[in-house]
Amino acid sequence: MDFALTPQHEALQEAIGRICADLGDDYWLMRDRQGGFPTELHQALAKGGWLGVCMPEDVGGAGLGITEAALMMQTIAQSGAGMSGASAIHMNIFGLQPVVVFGTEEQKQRMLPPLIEGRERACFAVTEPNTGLDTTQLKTRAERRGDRYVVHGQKVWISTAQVAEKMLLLARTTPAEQARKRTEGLSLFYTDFDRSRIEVREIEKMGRKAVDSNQVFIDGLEIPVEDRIGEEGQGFRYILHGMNPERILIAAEAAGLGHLAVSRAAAYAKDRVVFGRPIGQNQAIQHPLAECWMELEAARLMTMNAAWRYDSGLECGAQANAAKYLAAEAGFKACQQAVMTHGGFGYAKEYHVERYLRESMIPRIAPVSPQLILSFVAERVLGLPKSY
Amino acid sequence: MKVLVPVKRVVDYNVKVRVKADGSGVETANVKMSMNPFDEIAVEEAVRLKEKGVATEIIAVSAGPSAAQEQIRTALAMGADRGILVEHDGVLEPLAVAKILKAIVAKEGPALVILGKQAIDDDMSATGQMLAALLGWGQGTFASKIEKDGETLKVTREVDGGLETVSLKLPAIVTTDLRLNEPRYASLPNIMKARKKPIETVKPADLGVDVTPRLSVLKVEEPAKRQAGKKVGSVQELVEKLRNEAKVI
Amino acid sequence: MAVLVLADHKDGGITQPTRSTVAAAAALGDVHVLLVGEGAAAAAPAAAKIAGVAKVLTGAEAPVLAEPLAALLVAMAPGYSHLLAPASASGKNVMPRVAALLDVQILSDISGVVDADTFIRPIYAGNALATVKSSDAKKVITVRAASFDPAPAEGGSASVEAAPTAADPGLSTFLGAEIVKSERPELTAARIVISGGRAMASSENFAIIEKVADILGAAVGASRAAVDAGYAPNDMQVGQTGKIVAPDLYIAVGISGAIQHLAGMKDSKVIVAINKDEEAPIFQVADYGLVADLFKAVPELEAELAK
Repeated sequence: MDFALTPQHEALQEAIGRICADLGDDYWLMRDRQGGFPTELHQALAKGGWLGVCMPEDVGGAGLGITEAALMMQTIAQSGAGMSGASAIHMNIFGLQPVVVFGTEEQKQRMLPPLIEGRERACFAVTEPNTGLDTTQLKTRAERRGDRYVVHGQKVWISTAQVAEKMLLLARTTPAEQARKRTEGLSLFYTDFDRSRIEVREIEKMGRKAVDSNQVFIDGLEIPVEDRIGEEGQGFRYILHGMNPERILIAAEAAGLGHLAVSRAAAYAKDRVVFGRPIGQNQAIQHPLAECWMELEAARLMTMNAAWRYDSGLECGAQANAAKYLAAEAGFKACQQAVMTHGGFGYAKEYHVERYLRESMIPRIAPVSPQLILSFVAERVLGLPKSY
Repeated sequence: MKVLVPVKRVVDYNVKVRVKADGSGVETANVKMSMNPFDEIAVEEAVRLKEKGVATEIIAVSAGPSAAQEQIRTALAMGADRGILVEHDGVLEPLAVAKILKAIVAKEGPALVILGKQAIDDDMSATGQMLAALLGWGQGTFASKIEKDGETLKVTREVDGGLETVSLKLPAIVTTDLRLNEPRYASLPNIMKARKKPIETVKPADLGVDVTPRLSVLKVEEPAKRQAGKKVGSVQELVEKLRNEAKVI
Repeated sequence: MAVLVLADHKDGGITQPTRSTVAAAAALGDVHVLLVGEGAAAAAPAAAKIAGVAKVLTGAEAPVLAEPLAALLVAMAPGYSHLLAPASASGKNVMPRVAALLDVQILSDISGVVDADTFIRPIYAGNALATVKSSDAKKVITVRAASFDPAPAEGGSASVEAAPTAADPGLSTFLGAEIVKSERPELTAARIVISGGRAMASSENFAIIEKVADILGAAVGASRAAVDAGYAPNDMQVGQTGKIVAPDLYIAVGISGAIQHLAGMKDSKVIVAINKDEEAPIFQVADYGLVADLFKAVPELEAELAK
């Protein structure tokens, strides 16, 4: 067993850290106030080839694993960018795995290089307002008409839909009642985000203003058959393929955000003098921060364990879910503690930690609730009966 | 022409070093180490010369512990072609490093050696000049611009009060100042490629170099701490204090 | 045995860092001062008057290049136990070359003399002070001027002689220099220094601190961040990788106080910091801190000083 990062991992962290260091706290504070996609980060990462970290080498990627992608996402979040930075590229890193695995050679060559080079951004259009996490019950309909599909329906919580040029869309091609199995009848498409047929309404939200989240109304969008990934009706199975990597990456981001908060809080506690001594000399300040650090490290190790299992071709569902749960909760607690450590100033925007706290809710809620993870572990790991 | 770029493994510039309690040196265990920033500028300049077609091959060399391979890898990821590690665990003073580099130069035959003007650990600012002396080559220290002009190298140097330009016969030594260039960030494809580039390892003894230090460190101590003073509320108050309390204006 | 100091001179005068070097050298033996380059002879009388100088030697009146100058110093070295120069751009350029030619390890940027073999020098940007003892027979040294009170400019009456000559190895030629003419004092010799940081936001904005400098007769400096951003030329840089200053008054304007910068100015007698970030580390070393927007505070300072 070897927990050490390889020199290549260290080089990766160093290089990403430098790119992120060009965008300081003031940048992210400004983005959080005004909104607007962090194009500077996206383009700098694209220029360095980082968006292709886990894409195959023959389409211009680096052919590395989710382990490396997780290290990268943690580094981005931890740099001060938080979820504002991580979410801006999250989808582009792993989201097109279904194309990598199930796409044709022609599709891979057509779809992946523009994404890696940063010329195109993709959004992930799966969730719908009336189905929640019950993904097999999706209503958005894609009807085959000759060499194209025509799509009608609604999606919600679609991040970066304001700026994306492309969309990975899951839509129903066979009505639920006609499908052979619950998990069949949905198809996956990667296609142009045609704004003449799609209306996007931004959802005002608690944090991460820089990366928009939206309601999306699709009305008569035409998708050529060659933009369908894999077989018709098998889309749900394809999407599942990306679920574990996504949980691993979001866990890494949450751990990075938490570590960021703890290090800021510790730095503040060292400097802030009240009653003639630094507040960090008080155990009431020290102990909660130490506890946060330990929980974050435990979650990070679970994340790396899950990533290692995924990259080694081992089953990793339990570990990926556990990592996402542990990191999200530890990240939230760390951000909350960071605000409390700062006292009144923690509530002031210019101390940044209140932004982290708002952003720390994202990995708790998305892409799956903590409760569903608990049910998954109870059922699949402990063998208890299904509760819902 | 071949270009040799020495790179040094040093405590990262963001780390605030702490003096060891026993006064024997500074704490370097569990401290982030990086390539000396001026050496990064040297690597960058070499890579730019290669991109312009002036340099044909860039060799990154480091003298230090085996972990200095990481700094060589960084140079390779920036665009150097291969590396040489001169492995040595003890103290290496600039004179010893210059002697090691002289032996490497004899083996590799570069027409130009580009070094950082100063390492941020010992702050000696000496290795480039010492190497130039040992080789009997011309030196262009504290360079802010270099241009190859036939068999000579035109070097613009940062000097007190402004700039000075000298022409050096090649082969020559250049040491880099801050404004020579802005080093690039290693890209992912280049980090991947760097993994496959060769690093040769030798020992000072293989090169016939005696690296015995000439200086013995008797003690290392912290400088006297400065006390933070007071905050003043206004410019008027500041000027009043400077005039009547500090009496410096 | 006597010790040799390589002097920096300008406009017929001897620089203050050179006088500090003479002060450091005086503890080691009779001080001889070598002047080379254009204007060397003209500066000889000033060198001869420095207290503690026993002899002045003048060399060729031509632009100074490291290679022939090193050859000259090596030729003169047998007569001296120590060869010293201020840690100025020219001293740092030539002295390591001399040391290597003599097969000795240079002692760069010393801040203290313990005895003839033992010296104190700052390392890690001045965050540590190392006391080192040299086993070399001859010592080649550059001196941190800010650490030694300069030898008095008056009081000596040294003899002036021609320096010996050495052959030019012909490795380099001098093409030209662009030296900025300034009415302001040299950074390393000024009694007051006012420096701007990245928060100056442009090179044009340096004009507001220059106005204050002119009222105070101060030199103008810059942080590495400001130099990096292109707001100020490198020879204005104060810090570990720039100039080391220790004036009576140092005013840091819009400078956060990176370790690197503190290394260059923390020995100043009185430090003033003007910064809008109350948490900026510069305040930890400042005697007087003013939390304010520099674009408001600096013009106010100019007006207040002009009163």
